[in-house]
Amino acid sequence: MLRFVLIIAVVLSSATALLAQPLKIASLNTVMADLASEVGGERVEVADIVHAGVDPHLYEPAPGDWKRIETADMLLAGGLGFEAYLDRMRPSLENAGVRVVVGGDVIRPISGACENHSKEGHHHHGVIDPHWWHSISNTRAVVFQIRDALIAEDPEGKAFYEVNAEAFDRRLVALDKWVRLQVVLIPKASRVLVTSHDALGYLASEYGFEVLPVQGLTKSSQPSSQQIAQLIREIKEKRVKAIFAESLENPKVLEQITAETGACSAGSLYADGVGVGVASTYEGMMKHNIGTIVEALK
Amino acid sequence: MRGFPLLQILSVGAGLLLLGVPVWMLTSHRPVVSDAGAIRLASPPGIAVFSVQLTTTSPALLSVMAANHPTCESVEPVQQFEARFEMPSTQPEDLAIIARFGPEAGPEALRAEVRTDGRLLAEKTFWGEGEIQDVVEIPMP
Repeated sequence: MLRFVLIIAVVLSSATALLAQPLKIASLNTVMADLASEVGGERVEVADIVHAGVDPHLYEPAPGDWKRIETADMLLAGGLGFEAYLDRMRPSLENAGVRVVVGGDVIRPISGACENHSKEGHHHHGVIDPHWWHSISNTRAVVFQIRDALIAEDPEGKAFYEVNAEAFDRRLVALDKWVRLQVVLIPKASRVLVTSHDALGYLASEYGFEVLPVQGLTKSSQPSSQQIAQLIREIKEKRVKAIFAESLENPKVLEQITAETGACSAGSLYADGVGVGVASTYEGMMKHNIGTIVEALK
Repeated sequence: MRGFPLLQILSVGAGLLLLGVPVWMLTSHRPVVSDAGAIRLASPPGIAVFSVQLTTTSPALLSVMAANHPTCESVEPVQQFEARFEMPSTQPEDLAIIARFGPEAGPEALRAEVRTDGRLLAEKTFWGEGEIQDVVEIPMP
């Protein structure tokens, strides 16, 4: 009976959605955009302000982007410093009636594994890692945050958003189990990720990897030759089998490290958001990244 | 045949007993055992044998996977299956376990017990339908 009532409610809210204007959502984060599309379905119209393929660490909103953001009902952002300009724009957006939803507000943040290698080769800790989507449990929390924000903005679609969020959450639970079953195939001693920048800390923490990044969390500074020499030593000591580039990086430094350590170049990972093709959704991005890592390190 | 009849009976009984023991050992109900690595009389230092016992509520094709080891799987649907892995005692690998039930099976359970030197290290029960897949983490002994 309950299921019948729920189906009727969803059918009615879908019909209402077809008649009503969809909610306009602007997103500064490609992962958040995909999650909002999953939960919002046809009741929302999501505009990617920062597209896949654009480096979000370097992006600054252009005047045209500002206009699209200001006319939206809701703005999605990753938060935790990922969009350095967000704090500047937030007050005026809230005055303009734009609901700002920041994913980083509902997750438990961790520090970066290595923001900078010091001269002694020690790591500095304490800088918050904004790449929370590499933990599926974080993503699940953000899915429900988006559901609640959509319901607050569009109460008539409550049942529709709830059903979609529950269905997507079940897929994320299955994805998490798939990831764990894949990672088991990598010997524990080989679970070391050498990447362009420090973006996989949440993945490392959740699935038992160690991250050795060339750059810190923000890509703002280039590594010194001393830092690279220290990294090469660590790669040799730990007998790291493979090194991962990132889709938005210049692979030159990594090529040099690969040549000096004898580790193989294992392909690209999507670190700063979803990618293209099969990796253009959150689930696709995670499957691509885990598949690439497991294939190289098992 | 000469001699005491009692002695003859005892000799025949002892012979039958000697023949019967291996027959009983082969036919008695024992789980299928699969050795993942090479069978050794004694493990090298720092290496321990981890025994994984899988039990299901209905017959299923059972398999166990661990990094650096070949997959151990039952050749036919069974309710009990045991696999042994030689792994570093300070850092044992986690195990992926899979049970594939037949199409007629309903909700089923899969139980995994991991032991080393007879000591229980991990035990977990999983529920599902059709196919159950999960990970068993092994703590350091």
